Amino acid sequence: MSDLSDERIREEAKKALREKGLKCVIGWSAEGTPTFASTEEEIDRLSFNRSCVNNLVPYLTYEIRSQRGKTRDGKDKVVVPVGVVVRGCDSKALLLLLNEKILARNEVFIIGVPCSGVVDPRAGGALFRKCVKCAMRNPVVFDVLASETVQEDEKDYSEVEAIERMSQEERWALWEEILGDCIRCHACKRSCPVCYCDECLLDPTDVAIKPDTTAEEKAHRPLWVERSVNVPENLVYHLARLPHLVGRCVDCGECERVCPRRLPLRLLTTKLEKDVKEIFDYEAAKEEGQKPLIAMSCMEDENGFIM
Amino acid sequence: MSKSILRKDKVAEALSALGKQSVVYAPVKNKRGIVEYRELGKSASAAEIELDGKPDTPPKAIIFPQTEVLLTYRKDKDGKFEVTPARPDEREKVIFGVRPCDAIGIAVMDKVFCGGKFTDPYYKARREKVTIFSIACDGPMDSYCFCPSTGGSPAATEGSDVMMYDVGDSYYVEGVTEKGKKALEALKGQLGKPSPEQEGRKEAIVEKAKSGEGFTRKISAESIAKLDNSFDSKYWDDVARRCLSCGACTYYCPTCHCFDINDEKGGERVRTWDSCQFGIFTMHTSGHNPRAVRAQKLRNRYYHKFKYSKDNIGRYLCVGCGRCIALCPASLDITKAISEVK
Ligand code: SF4
Ligand code: SF4
Ligand code: SF4
Repeated sequence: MSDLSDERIREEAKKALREKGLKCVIGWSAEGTPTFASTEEEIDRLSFNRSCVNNLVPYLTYEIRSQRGKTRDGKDKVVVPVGVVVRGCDSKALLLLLNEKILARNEVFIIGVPCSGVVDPRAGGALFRKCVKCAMRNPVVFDVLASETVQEDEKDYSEVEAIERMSQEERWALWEEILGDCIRCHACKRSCPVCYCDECLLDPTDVAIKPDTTAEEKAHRPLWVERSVNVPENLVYHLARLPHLVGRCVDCGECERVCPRRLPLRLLTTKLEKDVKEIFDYEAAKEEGQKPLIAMSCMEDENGFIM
Repeated sequence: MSKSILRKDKVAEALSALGKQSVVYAPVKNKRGIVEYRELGKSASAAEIELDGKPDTPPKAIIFPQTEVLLTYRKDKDGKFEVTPARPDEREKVIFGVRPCDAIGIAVMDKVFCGGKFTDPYYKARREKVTIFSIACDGPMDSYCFCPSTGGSPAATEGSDVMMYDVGDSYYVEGVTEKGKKALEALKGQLGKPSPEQEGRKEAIVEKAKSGEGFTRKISAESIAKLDNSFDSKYWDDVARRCLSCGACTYYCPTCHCFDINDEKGGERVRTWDSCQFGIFTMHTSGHNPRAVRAQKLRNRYYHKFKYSKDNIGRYLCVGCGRCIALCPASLDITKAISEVK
């Protein structure tokens, strides 16, 4: 929050750049713009303050995964580690990627910044709604912390609970209106830190055809969502994303932040998180080395809707 | 009555007068605070309209909808196909309260869809029915505006049929095109004669617009000229490093007009907006993608806005509305990107 944490961020980033040979450190500028610093001079521009709103983890994933591949003699390419600055919510997403082995711990250098909330530029100086009451202000995985930890709040489920109390018809009308207003720009999915697939069955605007994809494979590519933007297709896009996010979504709110239609997407992700907690007693990215929820299914799990 | 006055307290009345012959669209705030064009009478009332700022969305979708069925087809019992072309919306439409940048945006789309060797019949059928009532801006509407850098101006009339100037408690109203003048005839009951003072205020808006006063956001002609030699610059890799390749910028741009056509379930051939930022946009069936990475895709958007369009249709494709800057999830800024070209 203060300049003190800026000094600490820069000091630690420079040290890691020298000692660990980082490719770059991904952070924010004083204006809150995502910044890739690969020299000490560039590191001097890194900052953390209330206008630093972007979750930088998708950039981290890209910087590391784009280095992967095989050398000419078939060996794994060496990945140069990348540094990143993360708030509490971002760190949860990063921990999930580490637990899912998408990123390796030694590939990342993590500077954590405890956070007391960032400002929503659309709300005229007020905090983002997700920041008003936040249960993940302090980073859960880091190499260094740039400032003292801060007090966290109880998670606020009141909006989700209000929807749970609605009748089925009311809920249908609610979601039909909200999701019917989506223009399927895919900003929510592309900025999601835990959506990292090369190809997404819900995204007809991107396919992972490679020069070696056979005609057979192309012909059998199912089209789950049409390009048409209308209520049924939008519902499929949004609702089918959810089962892919169960026990993975950390409710960082990045999807809601980026939505140009200002759709309240966290109503979905917070509900997901609440259900996972209540039904499976599980919390995404709770600790290092945690097994993914999907790998923990057992006979005792509720399965009433299947059998 | 080509120069007249419309008192602001008569706007609602004027809209219902226009509504007798046409469907009227005007900017209205939706429940999430987004100001966008809505059909009055159907989903909004004249009392709700927001004429004082730049609407959050451009009016483009009224003429060029995001999803448009072009034709439907059915296979009958004997295996023969029956094809039914979609009927264009035949209603006359007025778009009221358009900002000059957005009106130019429509003029630019006209060049693309109707100005060259080929005419898009779907676009044309809709476009011909549209009359545009614009409101000149008294300086930039917000910190994102930069129309003077792109050949526009806060009082530009290109693309508008009627121009209105906010002169206090009234709008000074002027027919620009024949279509506009004709539309004003329906407003005889609401329009009055301007006073010399009102004439003066209107002139002041026009003069101020010419001077470009108040605009802090700019792109210089020199930096645009640099694009000629910067195609292969490493610079684009740096700029695009934080691009997420979503479609927010293109979907909200008043001039982005790329589309895709697909046959969809139920036998519909549908045209939808496409975006040069999407992976499939340039994907070849072979698997080769000439614009596979973010830097190539983003560079293409900037070049299309400021170079290819100038070369091909004689005009920038960017009208300086600044929406792509305001909405970019990664805070990319087209004015900065072009100004710093290396
Ligand atoms: S960001 Fe918003 S408008 Fe875009 S696809 Fe997601 S929900 Fe729809
Ligand atoms: S860009 Fe120019 S014309 Fe458009 S709203 Fe801003 S000042 Fe008005
Ligand atoms: S490129 Fe950006 S600033 Fe230019 S017209 Fe399109 S949305 Fe507006």
